[in-house]
Amino acid sequence: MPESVYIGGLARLRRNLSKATVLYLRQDRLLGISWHKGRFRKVMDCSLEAPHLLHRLGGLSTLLIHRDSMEHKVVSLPAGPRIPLARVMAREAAELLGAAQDETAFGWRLLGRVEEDGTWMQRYLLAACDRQEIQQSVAQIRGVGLEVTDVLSALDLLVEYGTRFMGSKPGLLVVFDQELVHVVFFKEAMYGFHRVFQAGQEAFQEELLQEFQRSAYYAKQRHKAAVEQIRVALAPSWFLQETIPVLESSLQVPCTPLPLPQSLEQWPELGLLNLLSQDPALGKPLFSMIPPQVRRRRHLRRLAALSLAVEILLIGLMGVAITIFRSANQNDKETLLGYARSLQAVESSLGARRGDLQEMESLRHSVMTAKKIMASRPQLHLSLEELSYLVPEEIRLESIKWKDPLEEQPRAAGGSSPGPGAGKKAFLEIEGILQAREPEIRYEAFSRWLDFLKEVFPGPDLMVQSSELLQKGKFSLAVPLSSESQ
Amino acid sequence: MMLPGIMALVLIGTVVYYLILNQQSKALLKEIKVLEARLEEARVTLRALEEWERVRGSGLIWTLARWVPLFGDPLEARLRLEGRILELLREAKAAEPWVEWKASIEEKGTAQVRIRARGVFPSYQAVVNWIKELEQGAPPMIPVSMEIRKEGMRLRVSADLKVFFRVEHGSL
Repeated sequence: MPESVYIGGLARLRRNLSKATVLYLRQDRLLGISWHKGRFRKVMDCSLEAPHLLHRLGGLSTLLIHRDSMEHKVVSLPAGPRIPLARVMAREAAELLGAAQDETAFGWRLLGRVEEDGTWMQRYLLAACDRQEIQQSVAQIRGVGLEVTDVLSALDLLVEYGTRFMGSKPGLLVVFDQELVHVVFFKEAMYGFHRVFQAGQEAFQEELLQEFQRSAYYAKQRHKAAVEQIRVALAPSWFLQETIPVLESSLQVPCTPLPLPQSLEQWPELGLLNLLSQDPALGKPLFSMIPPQVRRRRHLRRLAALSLAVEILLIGLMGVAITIFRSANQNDKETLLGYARSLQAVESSLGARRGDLQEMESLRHSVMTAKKIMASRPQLHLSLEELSYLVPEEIRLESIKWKDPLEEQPRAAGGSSPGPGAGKKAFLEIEGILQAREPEIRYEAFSRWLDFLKEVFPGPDLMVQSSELLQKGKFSLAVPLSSESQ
Repeated sequence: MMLPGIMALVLIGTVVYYLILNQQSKALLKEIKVLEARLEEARVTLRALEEWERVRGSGLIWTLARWVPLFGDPLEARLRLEGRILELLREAKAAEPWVEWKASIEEKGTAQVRIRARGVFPSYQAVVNWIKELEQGAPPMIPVSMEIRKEGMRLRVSADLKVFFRVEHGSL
């Protein structure tokens, strides 16, 4: 499976030629085709120095190059270990052109895996060209409004075509490209070598036969394989009618013409582009030789356009937001002024009645004080009255003491201002005597009363001191006052 | 390539301007809220003043004077308050009535005095009634501490009371 990569081995090319324009630079002649509304048409036929379009066109394009300045080389690398392919290819390309690495544009395709001297090798086809030359060509084409996105080698197209149509038998693929004839040798569907020569001389047919014989001889010598088939693409009618029988008899191999594309009859000058018109998918796996700077610049341009669009959108949004904010701020300012005027009016009215205000304030303070005073009343009479119902007849109270819990707190904390007695609980401290003579009766009566008191004042706050109860009948209690009477 | 840079600068400018406007808007809103609160407060005061005008002539002032009495001077206050306690002791038929004017303090125009009252009461009910009168009468005399001790058939009672009042002239 051939592998196509960007220069630097970045990613596999994904090209859809059926939506783009394909240009073919054959030496200095620039030809172009495009697909318009599903139909194929010729859009350019001119020299590279003065490019012009036959139809109004724009957008992206792919450039196919066949020039003498483009060099090709088959590179074999060990299959096993992982090697820095991009770096190796860059060095090979520079060596091939005899130039510095940064002056070289190159690309490569994997041809396949072969065994050489007992070692498995990966075989690549490397194409290299002067980078400046490609940049100039791309710039010339940009002048007519076409942006070249990929630069392909014509040989790469032939290799792709041959890989598909040659089968496993060793053989020659002959492709007529207007005044050029390409002869490409394939063995087991793998590219072997490529020869190209000019047509149109007087003794062309004889020359052509000799060239086939030379190629067959070279294949035998170099690749140790006899040519067993010849396949011809884009062949002119004279070749089909006159040359094929002669060729078959002289080389003793079958010569099969490949199906001709419809466009060949109308535009024979398009040459290799006719192969693409027949099958646009043919260009998909080819490698691109666009120099990294050009690609980077293009990427930057795209990025710039995108960022410009985003910036314009954001500026628009900000503009809308600013307009809204400005009008809102204007409204707020008016509201603020209105409030300020109202406040001024109200305050001047209040200023005129300052005396009343002071008087009212003083009254308010007095009312608050009165409220606090009323709230601070402990309602002690209720507690005392309640107590009188809780004491049985046999018990005689000797003394009752009570103290406001707030008063026991430090003066600094409470101050002099009255307030509700939160926190501390008030107690009625009671001392009394049980009048029964017998200690058991005293004890029983006191216990009964205590149980009763515990029901009335539940909780742990009820405190009892009864050490003298059995001897003298004396006791003391601290009864918590209920919150209602506080 | 220059245009995105210029537009980026414009965008930054608009963002900065937006932020400034945003800040202004926040400051304005804050100011509006403050003014609104002040205006509301002033209006409430104005309404209260109008209410005050209506109340001024009514019996509220008199009612207030009932709970926090207003005396001409401290001496009058002492005489009147001591007299009131003695009167209540007499009403409760307490023997040996005795009143002692203790510490007094003044705070924000309201004075507070501590008075100790003593008496020997004929019954427990008389003590309860006396305390009830102290607490619920006008002016209210709020018990701070109290001690009831049995003396034969009678009850000796000693109570510390606090009383609030106002003085028109002079100070404590």
